[in-house]
Amino acid sequence: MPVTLDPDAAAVFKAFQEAGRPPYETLTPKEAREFYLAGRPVTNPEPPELKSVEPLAIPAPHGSIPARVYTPKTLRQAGALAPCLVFFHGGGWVIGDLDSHDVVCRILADEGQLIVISVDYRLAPEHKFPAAVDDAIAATKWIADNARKLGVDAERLSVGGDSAGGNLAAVVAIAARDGNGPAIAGQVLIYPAIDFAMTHPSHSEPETSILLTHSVIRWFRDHYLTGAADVHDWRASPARAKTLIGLPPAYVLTAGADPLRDEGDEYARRLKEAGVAVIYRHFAGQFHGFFTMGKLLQQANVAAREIGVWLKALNQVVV
Amino acid sequence: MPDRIRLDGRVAVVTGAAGVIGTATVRLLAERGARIVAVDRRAADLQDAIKSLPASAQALAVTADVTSEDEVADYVRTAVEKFGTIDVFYNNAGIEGDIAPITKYKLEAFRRVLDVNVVGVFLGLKHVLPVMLKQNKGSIINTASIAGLIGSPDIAVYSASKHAVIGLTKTAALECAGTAVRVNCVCPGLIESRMLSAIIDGRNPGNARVPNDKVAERIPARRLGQASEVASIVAFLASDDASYVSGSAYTVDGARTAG
Repeated sequence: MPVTLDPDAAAVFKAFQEAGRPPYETLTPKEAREFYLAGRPVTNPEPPELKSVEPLAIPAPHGSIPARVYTPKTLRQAGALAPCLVFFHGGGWVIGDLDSHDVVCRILADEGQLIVISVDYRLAPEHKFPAAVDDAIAATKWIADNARKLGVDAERLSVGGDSAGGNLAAVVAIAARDGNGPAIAGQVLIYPAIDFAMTHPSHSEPETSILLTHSVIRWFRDHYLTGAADVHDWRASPARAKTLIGLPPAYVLTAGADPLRDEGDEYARRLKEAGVAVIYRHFAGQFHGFFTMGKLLQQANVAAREIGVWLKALNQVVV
Repeated sequence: MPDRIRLDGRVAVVTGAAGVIGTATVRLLAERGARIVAVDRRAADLQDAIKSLPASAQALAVTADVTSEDEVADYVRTAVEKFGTIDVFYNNAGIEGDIAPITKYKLEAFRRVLDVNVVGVFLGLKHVLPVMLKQNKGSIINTASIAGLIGSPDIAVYSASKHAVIGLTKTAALECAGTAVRVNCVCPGLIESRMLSAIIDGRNPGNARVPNDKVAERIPARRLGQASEVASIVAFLASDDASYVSGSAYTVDGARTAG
């Protein structure tokens, strides 16, 4: 399917090509993480001013999971408790951390007028599947169990993330529905990875191989999964869950130039068919990764504002 | 695979939403997945238009007079507050005015048509364009008419106003240079509607209604158009399938103005 990039997305892509950065798959994971983080100031917009940003250590069987709590100036509190979005950063389960998605979390907290807790789950290849999933579920559970102490309304707890983080958010929502986790009010899936089979057309079309190239996806997959059998595990491929019935309301975002486009599109459709309330947004002229580039790409800011509006409508307390 | 003609999640503001073409367009945009902000001056008719939408549709009705700048600013603000943005704007509200030759046309009636059809379209552009320019993306469709391309006896001001809409459209398209904001207009021909009946009745005073067959004789397609046939062009222009279309005036007239 032909993809026509929006003028600003085309300009950014051209600039990236001219910068001649080495592809991640030619680097070690450690080098790739450094490159990823170093690119952030160029693309991240000015963050809004928040009330506070605090570190948090979430106890886990293997030690503790670092996290960061974002509290905006305007918070939708009811009885001193506020809604909360548990956020999982993208980066192919191999790169990315609290810092790489710091600005995005600040923006979501501000737009959604809720507490955002960003979770620094363990990365591959040091910690392969399902370590990231275990951490995501454990962190979500712990936040629900300690909601009061955190000023969080456990009834208004949502999960979200971009790319690999969208994958983890979808997985946490399924696990929670099946009893392994608290009630989840909503899921924000920003160009999520949904099916490791990688057989959808967008995984082979040349025009989707822009920032997240076909080759780097395979590099991520090989670092994350332990073998071919993991592909069929719903904790890696949420598309493989037995049913999507009973999952929480979803905001699903896809981008036109994205290998993950078609699996995200299909997941949104299947969620709708399963009776889940879905807002599906397709940014046809943008590429995978645009959401964090609000300094250069206005559609990132549109999406952030929309997600904020969606979260506000989702978490309304009816008095 | 996402379909480029689909409008899933897009936020579409439609003025004149209670009219025949407005209602048909709201319905088609909603069927293609858009969230709707339906604007009209007539609150009751607007509610009826919203009720006819599929149950899955997300739609919000806002009563506003498009000639009031405050009310235009209000519907734009409401759309952004409730849905986060505006992706599609069908700037459609318009009236036909009195049906009379220029020598008998009342100045007051002339000004009223200009106010709704030209000032209303202008105010819509003035307040929606900043939202779209800020995000570098969006699609605006104005309703002109074939009366904006050719003369039309007894509706001089309507014709003049629709010529003006085409001018506004082309200028707005140029003012969006360098962005992915597109501005186009549709030029409906003789569409089966209340407005067409009012114009035909006004031109043919007397008891007997002019039969549709008689009207159709002068249209190469040999029939009147349906509102849904205008809606489908609007929905196309609203979608990413029309990504390289801007500054255009699309006739939907069964070749009425072709020769």
